[in-house]
Amino acid sequence: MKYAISINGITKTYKDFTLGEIRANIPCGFSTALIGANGAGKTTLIDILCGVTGKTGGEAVYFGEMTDIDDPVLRNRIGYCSSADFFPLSWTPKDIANAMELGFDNFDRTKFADLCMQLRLGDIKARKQKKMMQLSDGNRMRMYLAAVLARDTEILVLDEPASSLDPLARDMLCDLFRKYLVERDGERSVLFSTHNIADMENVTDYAIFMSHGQIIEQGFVEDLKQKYLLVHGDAADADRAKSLMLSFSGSQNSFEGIALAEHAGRLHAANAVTEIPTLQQLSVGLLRKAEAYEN
Amino acid sequence: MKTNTLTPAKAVQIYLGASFGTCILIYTGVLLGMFVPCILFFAASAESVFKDPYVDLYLYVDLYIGLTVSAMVAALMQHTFEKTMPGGKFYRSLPEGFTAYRKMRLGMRYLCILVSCLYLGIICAANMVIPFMNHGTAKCVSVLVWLVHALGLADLIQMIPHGTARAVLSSLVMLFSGFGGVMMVYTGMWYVTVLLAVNALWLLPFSYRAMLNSYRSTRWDV
Repeated sequence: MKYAISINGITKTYKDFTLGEIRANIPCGFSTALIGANGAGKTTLIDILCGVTGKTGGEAVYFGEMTDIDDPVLRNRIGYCSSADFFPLSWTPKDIANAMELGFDNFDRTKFADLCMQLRLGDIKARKQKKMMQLSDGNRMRMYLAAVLARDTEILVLDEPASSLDPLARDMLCDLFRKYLVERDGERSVLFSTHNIADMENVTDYAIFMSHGQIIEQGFVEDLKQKYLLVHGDAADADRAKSLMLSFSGSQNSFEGIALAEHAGRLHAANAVTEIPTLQQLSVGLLRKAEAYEN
Repeated sequence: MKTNTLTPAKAVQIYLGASFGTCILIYTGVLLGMFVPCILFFAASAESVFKDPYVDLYLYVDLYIGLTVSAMVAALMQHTFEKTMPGGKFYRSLPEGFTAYRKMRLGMRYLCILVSCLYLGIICAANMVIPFMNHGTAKCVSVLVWLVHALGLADLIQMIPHGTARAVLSSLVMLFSGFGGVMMVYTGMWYVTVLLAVNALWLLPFSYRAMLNSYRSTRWDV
């Protein structure tokens, strides 16, 4: 297996928060979701991987060979965009194109113009252009995406790209991810963070779950769906099933949660019903356990 | 590769969005836009407002020139492009990273000096056609020297951790420099200006390096 990024024990220490040690692999040729609650450390990890934030310890190996994130060649290969105010608010699309063209070797102004049209942001050659501060949050994010996708990169690293987008735009984002991945036939990768995986589920191949600055689970989505089960049943059977479950939430009539697939037989014996979980259900189950939200 | 050919002027364009030449024209235009109406107002109201119009008017005009240019330079120098501000993460994700920031800071110094030169130069030229300042050229040169010296002080002030203290102190130093340049000619203490010019020779490179080292370790990628 080729990895776009291998994360070897990265740590970052703040006064009130510690990230890591993080050990994870971002597989090459796939779309990887970094899933976690607010404050889990997703943004910090992404910023470290893209050289926006310095790390306290550990190392990341990019494309199997590069380790110095300050190397301009490596930075040109990474397409990074943050979730809010990535560009100054007084900038117009033309200013963005000018700055991107000067700053990056691989920015294509024509592609940027096409993407702006595709994402319904208008014509960047128009005489009157809106400044970033005049755009809605969703349109700002579209502008960031157009700018980063207009570069010829090998990995996209996006922080919460879907959080401010409407459902149609999220669907368009999924299409753009797929197109980006197939363009280079397995040589390109995507890493994005989210705290709501539901709308991005069908474009997620690999998932990394984070909580309290640590990775609590990672793997290919299909493997994780084999490893875990969604469990539900009547409240009367809850006590027998609960001890076998990783996360549990119950009401007067029923219960639901996540359990390891290896307990399927014993769960069935306890009259619980098991199903293959969706990534959203898996996320909720794993994060509930990690964040200690158990009822 | 572009990353090796990034000049201070191009770095300024990446950070400000507009080209270096456009920035010079805009900032000089703003300064002149503030200067022209005020000088007309001073001239129109000289008889009724000032006790001794010929002395007071000259002083007000001189001080106003010092004030406007120093305020502009103070505003430009306070652009520190923090990570938490809009665009902060974009700047930090550039291939040249901190090198681009370093070049931009140098470019901002050039921008401040060029805008000041252009603005004060236009005022000197105008003063030769329609005199409104005594010793106009000497005052403009003196203000320029004080401002260039203050650029070094402003960089040292950028090393103060507290943001508000930085902004207030930096503005005060700049305004003091704008007035100081004028007053030195008024009081005949021109030798202070000469001393500052000599002092700037070591202060500017020293403060530039010190500010960059401090910024990188405390505010660039923390």
